[in-house]
Amino acid sequence: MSSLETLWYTHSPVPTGLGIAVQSGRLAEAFRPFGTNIQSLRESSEREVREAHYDHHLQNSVRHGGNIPAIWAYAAGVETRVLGLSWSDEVQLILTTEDSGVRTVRDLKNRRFGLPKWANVQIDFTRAQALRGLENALKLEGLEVRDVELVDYPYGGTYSDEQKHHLYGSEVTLNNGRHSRRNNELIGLLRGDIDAIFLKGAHAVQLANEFGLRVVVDTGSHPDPLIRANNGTPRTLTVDVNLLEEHFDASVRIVDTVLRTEQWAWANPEETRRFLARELNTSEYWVAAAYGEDAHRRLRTNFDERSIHCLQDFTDFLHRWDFIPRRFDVRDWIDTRVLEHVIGATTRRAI
Amino acid sequence: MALHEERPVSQPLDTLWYTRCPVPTGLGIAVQKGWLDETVGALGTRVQSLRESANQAVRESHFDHTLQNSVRHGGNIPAIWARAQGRQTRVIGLSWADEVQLILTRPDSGIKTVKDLKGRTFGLPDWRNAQIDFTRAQALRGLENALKLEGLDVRDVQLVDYRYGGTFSDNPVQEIAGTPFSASANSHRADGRNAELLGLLRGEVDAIFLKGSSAAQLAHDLNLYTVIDTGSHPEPLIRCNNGTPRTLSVDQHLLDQHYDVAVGILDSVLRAEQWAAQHPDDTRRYLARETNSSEYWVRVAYGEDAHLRLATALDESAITALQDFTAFLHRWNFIPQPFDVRDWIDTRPLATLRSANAALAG
Repeated sequence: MSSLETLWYTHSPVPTGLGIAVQSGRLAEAFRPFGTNIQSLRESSEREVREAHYDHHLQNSVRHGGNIPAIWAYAAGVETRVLGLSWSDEVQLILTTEDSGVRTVRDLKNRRFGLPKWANVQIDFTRAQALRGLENALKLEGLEVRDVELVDYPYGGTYSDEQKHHLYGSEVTLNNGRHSRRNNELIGLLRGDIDAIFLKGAHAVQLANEFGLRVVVDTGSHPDPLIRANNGTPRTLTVDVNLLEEHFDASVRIVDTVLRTEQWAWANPEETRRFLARELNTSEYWVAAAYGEDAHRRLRTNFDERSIHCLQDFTDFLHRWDFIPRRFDVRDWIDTRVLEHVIGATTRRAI
Repeated sequence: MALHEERPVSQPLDTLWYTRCPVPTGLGIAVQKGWLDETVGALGTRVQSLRESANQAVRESHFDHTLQNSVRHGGNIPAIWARAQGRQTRVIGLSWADEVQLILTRPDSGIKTVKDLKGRTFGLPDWRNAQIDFTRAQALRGLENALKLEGLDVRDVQLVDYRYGGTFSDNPVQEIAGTPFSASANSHRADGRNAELLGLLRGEVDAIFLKGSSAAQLAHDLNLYTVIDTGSHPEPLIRCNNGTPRTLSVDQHLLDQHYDVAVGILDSVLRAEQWAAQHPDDTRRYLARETNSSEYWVRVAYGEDAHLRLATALDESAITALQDFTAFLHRWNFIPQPFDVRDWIDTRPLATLRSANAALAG
């Protein structure tokens, strides 16, 4: 097994064990004795490298984050494997204004629903997750997406046009006078152009609060996991096959670090909430509002049957809506060897 | 003014009420670190948060300072107003933490500079039921100062009022995840929140004023264009507003009867500020909690050196600015009469502390 010179890592600005392992320095520490250089791919000055957060084309890279780009990359033929799944329930809100007259999911029938549409991206995860939230909400009342009028809010460019920087743990874009567009559907809703939108996570609750928006439904708190399943439920921890085959020890080290970080989080709610606030670029208050007072306990990477089942269901959803070119069996994508190796080598703590 | 050399008598005090704005203040850190409790606790006094009270009259004292034996560190507008109303309060310290003060417009409004505001509509909050509408006063100050830089005045723009019902103290503040949070924020009131911002997004008005970390974040989230940030202007009188300087004030009764408690308050505030100067990281986290925003937005709004901006003193420049701002509030009829802020300031507690420290050092 050859030594690994550079490990590329990337994590979405959401609660992940890998994200906290990076922020707390645990990942760098784990690889330091082996002389491996740890590099953040989203902070690269090259757009091509940054785009690997979405298409996973970079050799010797690990990614922990939303499953949509990971599912899409695998469906598109990129050779990756899932080493673990984490499930941090978060709020997933269908929002309306006070004066729209919409109160319940049933009221959405024949109303206008705003969806983001990123015209130039390889995989539009923002649109896919909004559509999932909408479809699942409607399903609860026997309605379908056909029953509402979809209004597209176009965005130019791609998600990786701008180099990311980390300031106080938050991933931000330091654009020099360039004016990027964001939250176009929200602005449309506030202007009264449409009747409802989908937003999720800490920013959703914060923005809903800022403008006194009404929550029609939070599919993220529904008892049925298939209703909650979306881009972030479950999140995928993935590596490329080269890393797995040529640097199995490095793959073990990654998973081991993620699991140890998560165990640390379970015992340190306060510090974990701060890490999450930095990761999400929000306040600790909004972290608790979006991810629960027990956000620290929701960080656990494993291969629960429930997560696998939901990942399959969600893959089928993405295929049905033409976000991915082919359907596949997620069990062929999952590689349990690394996790089994780590758990076998570690004294298991009774939780 | 009493003789500086003589330390006034001090009676035991049972309860000290405290309140601070959800902004960077030494008092806020002193409370959070338990130092206020510790310092006045040694004098047999317990502390109670006024804004967390179940009683609205007690909560309203954050704005009208009616409560005996209370201390307040925060925006100067309600403090100036209470004094102008005849309330017997004294300022024992001033702090000056510069923050962003933004005039915002939509990218498609055609407004690029302050000059372009001429003849355009400007949205102002209008809390008609509040005793003192500090939100309106601070927005007007930001607007007037911005226009002044280009030889314009407020008459050159068309003001549009956004009415809010209720008052600022209708709901108690609760502490959740270290963050002071008012329940009213969760209600779906028809009068809503951020009404002028909504008006801007809807194209009803061309510009508005917002300040602090939430201003920076909302401007970013909603693709707004910053016409000017008066909070970063080199001239202090242009930056001077509700938060610049902030007042540390107590009621006269506390000073007269419980002088040691007043000194103890200031002592714990200065201790907190010295601690902050040496703990940038912890201070930023504290400020993020206090303002309910992220550490990144705290840095954008209050600067990389936010931890160094918490110094409470009685600097000449802060006193001059406070006088200028008091005149502004009178000119716009927010207060019934102007007054000399030097009559309002009591320098004794700061002098007592300094001579005690000098004695220790000697």
